[in-house]
Amino acid sequence: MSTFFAYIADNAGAIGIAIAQHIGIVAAALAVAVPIGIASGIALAHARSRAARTAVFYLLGLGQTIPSLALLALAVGLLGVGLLPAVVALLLYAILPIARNACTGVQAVPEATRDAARGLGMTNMQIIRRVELPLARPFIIAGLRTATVVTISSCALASLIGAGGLGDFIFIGISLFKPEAMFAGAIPTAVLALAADWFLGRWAARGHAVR
Amino acid sequence: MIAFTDVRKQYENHAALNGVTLNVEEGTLCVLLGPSGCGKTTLLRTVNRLVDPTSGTITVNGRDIRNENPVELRRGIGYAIQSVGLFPHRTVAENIATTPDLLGMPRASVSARVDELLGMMKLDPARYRGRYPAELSGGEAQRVGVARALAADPPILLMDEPFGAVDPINRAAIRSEFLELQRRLRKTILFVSHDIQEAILLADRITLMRNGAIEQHGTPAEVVGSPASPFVEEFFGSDRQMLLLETLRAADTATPEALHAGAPTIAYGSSLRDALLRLLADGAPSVTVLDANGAAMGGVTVDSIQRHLAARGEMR
Repeated sequence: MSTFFAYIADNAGAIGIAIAQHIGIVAAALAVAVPIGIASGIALAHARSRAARTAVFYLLGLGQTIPSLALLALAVGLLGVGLLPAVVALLLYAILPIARNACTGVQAVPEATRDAARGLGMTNMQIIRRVELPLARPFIIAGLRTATVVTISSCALASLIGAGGLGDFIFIGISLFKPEAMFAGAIPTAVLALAADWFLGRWAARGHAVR
Repeated sequence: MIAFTDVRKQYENHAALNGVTLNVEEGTLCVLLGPSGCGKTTLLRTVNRLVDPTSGTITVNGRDIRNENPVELRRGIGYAIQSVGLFPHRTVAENIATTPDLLGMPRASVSARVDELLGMMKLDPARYRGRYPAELSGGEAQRVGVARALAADPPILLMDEPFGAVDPINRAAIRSEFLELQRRLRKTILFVSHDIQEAILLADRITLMRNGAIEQHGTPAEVVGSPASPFVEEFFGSDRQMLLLETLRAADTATPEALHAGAPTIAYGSSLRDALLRLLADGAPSVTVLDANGAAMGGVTVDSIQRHLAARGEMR
């Protein structure tokens, strides 16, 4: 235990930087994945053909079965090492839960509500912005929660392709058999994931009991 | 005025509308009546272009709606549906303000309008403005739905069983309040119903539909009293003659000769059915019809009702 605290004290600056890098990579991946996920979820919910929707989600689900390590390796093959391939691989991972939840949320809007909105003179864009998105909000936030937690934990692997982050400490710990280094990476990663989950959970619950 | 000319709607494997020609005069309420699947809702939805007909012409106040932008057309036509479709994430006031907001009306006047409409619907603005739809009873939600349709003061209203999802007692109350309101507002209304009583109470004209075509169009007394086909006769069923009495006003049958002192009285707007029920309930020889000011204008007897029906060729 004392070696762990000593290690933390000695490496406080480096751990701080790793945390910042970790958050930066996750934020960059989500900044791209969220708009794409929500937009494609809405588009898929409105797709005329049920078969097309099922096919798209099947393919996306298939993509999700590729191990994240393999996806990172694939990204290196295409984009080289460093930050960019890590962000791209992670955002591809994050899109599916966001899109799937947005699609479910929009599909859950009652047909009568949509019919009333159209009959009262809303444009298609207004129906999406004023009716579908607010009503799908709890679903969308649930998707965002899943995506955020998954991205934070998978981001630890990004260290393997030279993107930095808390994974650096975990892999140093593994290769040098220094548990204190491993924990110095793993504990902040877990705390980040839990904190993000708690924060998004609070946001989902806020002011939306009756509405 | 709404005018349909040979309107057809063909779906892949069935024809929803089979050549409908119909005029709904300005300021009148026309009830589209018929069994489910007869095309009445489809016909209603062609007016604000939620459904575009395969062929035929629809004009609203002389303008062919094919040349109108659907969104702008809809903002100028009130729309209320059975399932109400209130926006669950918006308050009652925000729901009612939907179309005025879309039209960009100033906030202050919209807010005043919301209060006025809630008052018209017998809902206290102070209590209801800030509520969410989940906090309303079925009857309250339908009143809000009607208020929302009236919000931008459109000359035309489309109503698809707007009182369908309420219990019978509340439904009767909402209907008669709505009838009173319509007598004041004189909107041009196309109203879908499958409820015969509702149609007779509210309609200036009834359009009875079957298989996407009009079976008969006329005043309630005409349609109920002189069915144009066996289908129409059958549609009103075995109590058609009772329904006919409901379409006829007691005041039109009342004669001074039939006045009896101490006879029970009925109000000016009462139907012959009300008069007959009163005669039966009180066991009186006649019932006195009061005029709008509450003065006796004449009496109605069982005999006079029979003579009235016989003159219409009804009592065979």
